[in-house]
Amino acid sequence: MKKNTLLKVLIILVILAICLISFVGVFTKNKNSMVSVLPDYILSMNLNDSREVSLKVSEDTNTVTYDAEGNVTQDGLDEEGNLKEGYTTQEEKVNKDESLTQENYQLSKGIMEKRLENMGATDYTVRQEPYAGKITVKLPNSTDADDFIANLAYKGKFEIIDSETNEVLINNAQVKESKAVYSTGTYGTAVYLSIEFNKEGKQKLEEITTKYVSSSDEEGNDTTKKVSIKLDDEQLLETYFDEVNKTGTMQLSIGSQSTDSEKISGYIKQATLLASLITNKPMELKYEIENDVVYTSVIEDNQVAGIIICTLVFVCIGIIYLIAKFKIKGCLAVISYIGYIGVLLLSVRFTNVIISPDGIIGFIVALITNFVFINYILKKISSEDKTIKQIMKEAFVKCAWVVLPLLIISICFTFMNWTAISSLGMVMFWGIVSLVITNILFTRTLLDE
Amino acid sequence: MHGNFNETTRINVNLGKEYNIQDIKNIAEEVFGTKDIMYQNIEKYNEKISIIVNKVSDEQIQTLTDKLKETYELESTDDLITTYVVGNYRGRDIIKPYIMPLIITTIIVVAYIAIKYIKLGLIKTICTLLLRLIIAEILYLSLIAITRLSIGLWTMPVSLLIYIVVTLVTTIQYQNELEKINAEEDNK
Repeated sequence: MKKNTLLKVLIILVILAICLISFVGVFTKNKNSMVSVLPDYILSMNLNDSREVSLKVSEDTNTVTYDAEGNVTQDGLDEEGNLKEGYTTQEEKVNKDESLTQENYQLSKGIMEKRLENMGATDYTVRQEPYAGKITVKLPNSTDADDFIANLAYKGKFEIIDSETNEVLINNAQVKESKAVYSTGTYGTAVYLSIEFNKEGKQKLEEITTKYVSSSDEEGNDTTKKVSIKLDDEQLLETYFDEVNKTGTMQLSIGSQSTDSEKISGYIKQATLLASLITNKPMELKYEIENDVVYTSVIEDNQVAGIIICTLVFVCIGIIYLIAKFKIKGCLAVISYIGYIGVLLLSVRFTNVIISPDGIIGFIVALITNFVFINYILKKISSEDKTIKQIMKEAFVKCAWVVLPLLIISICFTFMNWTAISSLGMVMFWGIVSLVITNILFTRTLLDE
Repeated sequence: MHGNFNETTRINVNLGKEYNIQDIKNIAEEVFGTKDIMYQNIEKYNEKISIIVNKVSDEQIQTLTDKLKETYELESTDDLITTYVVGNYRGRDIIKPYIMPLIITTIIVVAYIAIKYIKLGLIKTICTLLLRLIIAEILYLSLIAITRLSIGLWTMPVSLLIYIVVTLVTTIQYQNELEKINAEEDNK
């Protein structure tokens, strides 16, 4: 009996310590300020800093040169830098008036969303102002945000052209998929941008790799025909081919072979960003960044505060109900319940779970589930003449069948590539794990007679 | 206002000196004639603030500029205010990321329930769960429509809460029914 009481006191002290650590924190002195030893809660962009970029349809103009026959030409200047005879120049809008349509605005928005998805962004919103086609993208203020934003303004026009004639040989329409790949060899890891072409592209690639090869004339002069690989009219590289490519996949090396993991991940990132541009259709419109602002906390965020207060009110009602109905046993169960909240909050902190509004819902689900479980145990104790061990065993068996759908939901959600959903999944998962641990360690000991 | 997915206007104010939130709130509420305004800090310093309102006119922007100039004794108002419209976040864009996860989990959960509670009747258990989920979500959406609540940050999380709670309650009910049937069979 004495041993049991001592154990109960010990458990209450442990719960108290966990709650203090979890609710108040552990601080150490560092350079005249108190610093928390515990990892901070990681909040999603809707609850924390966010980067908001507004992109507008470009109003820039380009000087276009026409030859005597009225064809567009790149080579309009003579040796002295003057316009050749019969040639004319004209200022033309980058985005022609007839291109400024709702359809093209929508298309641009869709392409930007796909690019973000391909680049691995897991938390973003893309909103469009309907009349001027202005697009606002909101992202978490992370280190990747700069790369994501830079990639949004590209048109994404990918072309393989004849270096001499500027004839377009292959463009985005022939691309099936593009991705970053890497292979590890003796001298380190090499990163490639892999471009897989569709049926038409595969055929064209075979033709190109047959035609654009190293060659020389009878006098030994280099007559190699080369291709230029361009992205948004900027040359990525000029090359020729060593062998005929019948695979329909082209690999461009990004950077050099390396054993430095930081360098390799940088190359992979670079290749992924390029792949996101090439995989998708090019935008019909040229966009430019108008505003790029980091927004920090929302001042007086009543909705989040409201949800948290409501949850706390319901927890208090639950606690009062348990104490009123089950008296001392109810009090002990409440102590275990509070310990559960402490353990859940700590596990979320230590496992770096990103907390989104959906994650807060995960907390509510976890609190409801544990309340139902504790209430079930207390009811069984008061109505059945069984030991706590037997009751707990029965409760866990029943709980396992009931909680299994929640576990399925939490695991499925955890592996989803969308922060809001994975946040809910992870919080629910740790909620279930904490439920098992705290009820075995705390509830069983505290309710044992 | 926070998390409102309707079309809004962002008014970014760059004071160049530390602002007082109460002053800003008083000025904004007076100028825009509403309390439905959201305020957000820009960067870490309290010198820039974003005021988010549903709609603004050029006159209101001018009045805001004048009042800020007067309150904060600003010499120039050239770069004081930048405004831009943030388009609405379409319903289908809000729902899109949730569709696949919900389809996958519903299929697995329904398969589990069908196997585990087959004694209660295969069609009955599946249909009851699916019907409850559909009715609960329809009721929730109807409530949003009737009360004219704006679609926002919490719309989908609450919808997920309903989905999970309905699944949990239905499973508890099935488990109790199954235990009852098993107990009756044992008694026989």
